[in-house]
Amino acid sequence: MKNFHPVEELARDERFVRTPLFDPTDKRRATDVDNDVRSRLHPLDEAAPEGARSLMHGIFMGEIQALEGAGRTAWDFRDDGETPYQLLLDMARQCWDEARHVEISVKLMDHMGTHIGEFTETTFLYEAACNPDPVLRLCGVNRALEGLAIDVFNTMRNFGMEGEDPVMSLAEDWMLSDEVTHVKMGSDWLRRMTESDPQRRENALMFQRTVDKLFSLQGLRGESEENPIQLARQFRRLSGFTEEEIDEVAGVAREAMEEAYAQHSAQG
Amino acid sequence: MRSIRRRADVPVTVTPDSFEYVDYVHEEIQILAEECARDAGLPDDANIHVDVVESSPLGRVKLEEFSPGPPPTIHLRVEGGAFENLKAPRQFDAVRCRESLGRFFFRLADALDQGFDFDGEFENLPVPRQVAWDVYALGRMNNKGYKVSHDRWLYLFRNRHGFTDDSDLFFEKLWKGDELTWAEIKGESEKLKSDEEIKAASSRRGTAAARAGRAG
Repeated sequence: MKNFHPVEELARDERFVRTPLFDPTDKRRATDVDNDVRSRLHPLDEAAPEGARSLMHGIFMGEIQALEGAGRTAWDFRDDGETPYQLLLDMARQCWDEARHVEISVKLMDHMGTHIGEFTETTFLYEAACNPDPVLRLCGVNRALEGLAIDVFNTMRNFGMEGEDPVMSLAEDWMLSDEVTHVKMGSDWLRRMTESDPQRRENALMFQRTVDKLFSLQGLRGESEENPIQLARQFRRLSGFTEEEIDEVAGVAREAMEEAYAQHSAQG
Repeated sequence: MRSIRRRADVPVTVTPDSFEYVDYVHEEIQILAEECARDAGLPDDANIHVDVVESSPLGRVKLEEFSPGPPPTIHLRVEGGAFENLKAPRQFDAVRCRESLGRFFFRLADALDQGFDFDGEFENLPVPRQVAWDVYALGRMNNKGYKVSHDRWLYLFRNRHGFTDDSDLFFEKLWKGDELTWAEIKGESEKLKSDEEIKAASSRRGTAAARAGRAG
């Protein structure tokens, strides 16, 4: 089996259609920041349950890629002479969790009246898991993207609770607890592996910031009523984020929101 | 496959004549709209206009103008995403076009039907009432052979009426689509999700949720 499996070669059947996250040829307004469109997900909002269906499909695709990414990390650095065996075991454990999440997600999709392949797949998560440095890979995937997963699962759990949907709220709660562990793994390994290499730590955190900015998705995530995905401060604390680090993610999200507003104004 | 225009279709005008942002065809939308208007039972002399806002990838449909006439006047503003293929960005999806337009046309035909006896504001209904009426429209479309997703709408309905057996029973009654009146739809919807509950949920969330509890 080869190292560093390219994204183009991920195994998918005919149900899966891949699209880029951003299409520069699409001249339509990329986002609508009107208050009546962008708001925290709530079951009584006109568009929220439909948005939740689409988000659930995105979660399902993310779980598949998280499984593939953690599997690759366990394999790609197996004998590089530097990566601790315990880190590889953590990645193997994460694969176990992600495989379970894929199965839960398929059942949740069925519950929500959607199915595998109703929506397209973007491969950003796996692409972040292709970094040749295992520390950057863990920062991009386990801290940035699994951190986003904490925010998404907490948002969906609250959405289920507000709609009194026991299937959604419990399933998301179970997955959320695993995500906290995955982010904590990323936080712990970042600190341990860069203890005597501050430059490498800075590079890894820079990579995380880039990924965080990219996936604040023009105000999709944040802490106001206008953000469909809410930043989950409490669970981020549990996963090893310091208060300053959480503030930084919140700041990046605010910046993304302001940029979206500016873009919206410029487009008239 | 393109639809073939039938004589009994109700005339509908569609704008724009050509599309720049998306790969849609004016004539195809017009043909589908006319079929939907006919199947919904809208009168032949109705003035129906569909304005497609192709610059928006969102999928909202808004009734801009409605007067019962006779002849009735209907003006729908449809964001381009409502007709978009979910797996092929900017490409047209006839199934989604039929569902988006048919859902409105069936409800508008109800609103014109004296037997249905609609007494609210079409565009200002609380979301649960609107969704209950949507399901009644979609169930009839399903009976006429339109491709609509029962499970998708069950989920959208449960979110607004509860994940309970009573809610599911009401859904199936609406989906069966059998000569219901507005009073029956509204009354059963209110039993499952009262105006007070909707207002309380809205006030807990503040202004962003205000429209969920709009009067109707």
